[in-house]
Amino acid sequence: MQNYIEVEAETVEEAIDIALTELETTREDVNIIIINEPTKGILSFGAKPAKVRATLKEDITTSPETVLKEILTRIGIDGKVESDFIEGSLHLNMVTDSPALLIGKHGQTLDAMERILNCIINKSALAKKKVFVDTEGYRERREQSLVDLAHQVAAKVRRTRQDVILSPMSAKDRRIIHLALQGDDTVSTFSQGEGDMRRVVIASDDY
Amino acid sequence: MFKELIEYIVKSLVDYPDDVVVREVTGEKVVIIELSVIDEDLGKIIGRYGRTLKAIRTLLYTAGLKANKKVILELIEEPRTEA
Repeated sequence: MQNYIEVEAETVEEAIDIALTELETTREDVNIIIINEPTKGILSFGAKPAKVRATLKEDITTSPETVLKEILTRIGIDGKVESDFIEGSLHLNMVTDSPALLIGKHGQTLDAMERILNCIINKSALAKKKVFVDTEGYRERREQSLVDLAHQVAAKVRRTRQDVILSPMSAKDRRIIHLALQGDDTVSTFSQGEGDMRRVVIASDDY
Repeated sequence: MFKELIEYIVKSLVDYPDDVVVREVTGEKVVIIELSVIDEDLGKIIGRYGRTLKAIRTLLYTAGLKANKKVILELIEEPRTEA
């Protein structure tokens, strides 16, 4: 797949113009590498033209579904990708025979997949759109178990009046805990620690 | 197989896919993937706080689980050679 062309002309600007005409595209959709700056020789001897290489940016028609499917195949997992629009966002659901492998510990693999996919499809997009990735309804199950955990721990904190520090979680998971206990005025929540070690603390408010 | 996975992901992420070089060194239990991209693209594959690179490693690890191998990704930063 050749997605670039090389053009020679008297000046760099001219070469870029020709390249854009050849590729039938605009300056925003290509990357330009200047291979040679033009050099002037004596009369016409030793003069070298300007040479540029214009590379088309990632094909904009590459759909998120296709990219996700391509990644799955290369990981060695067969299956299909279903897509659905929920509240204006694209949600992709992977239907495969290895859901556990794709979810990973606390959804780590799912999160990695989502991140890479978003990086790829939003690479050259001006308006970034987040795409969500899920399998076997994991996201919803995880949210439910985090909400349950939040309420259980909150009950314990109320009873013992001792603060509880939860295990480290991703920003997404911590957010679910904070939201679950937002309306509870007997406990308060905050996060402590940095990076991968950031944890939610559920603290007693009742003194 | 691991090489194809990395090539696909990295080439889709960078601005200069033609300058992506991936080498695979296969051992009995361990596979080492050596990756290099041009300097301008380093940030694209590392990401803020290294999050993108970490995600790439996670997917590679998953592919490794499937194939029963431990896969290590090494980012090679070539010293600039003067022409």
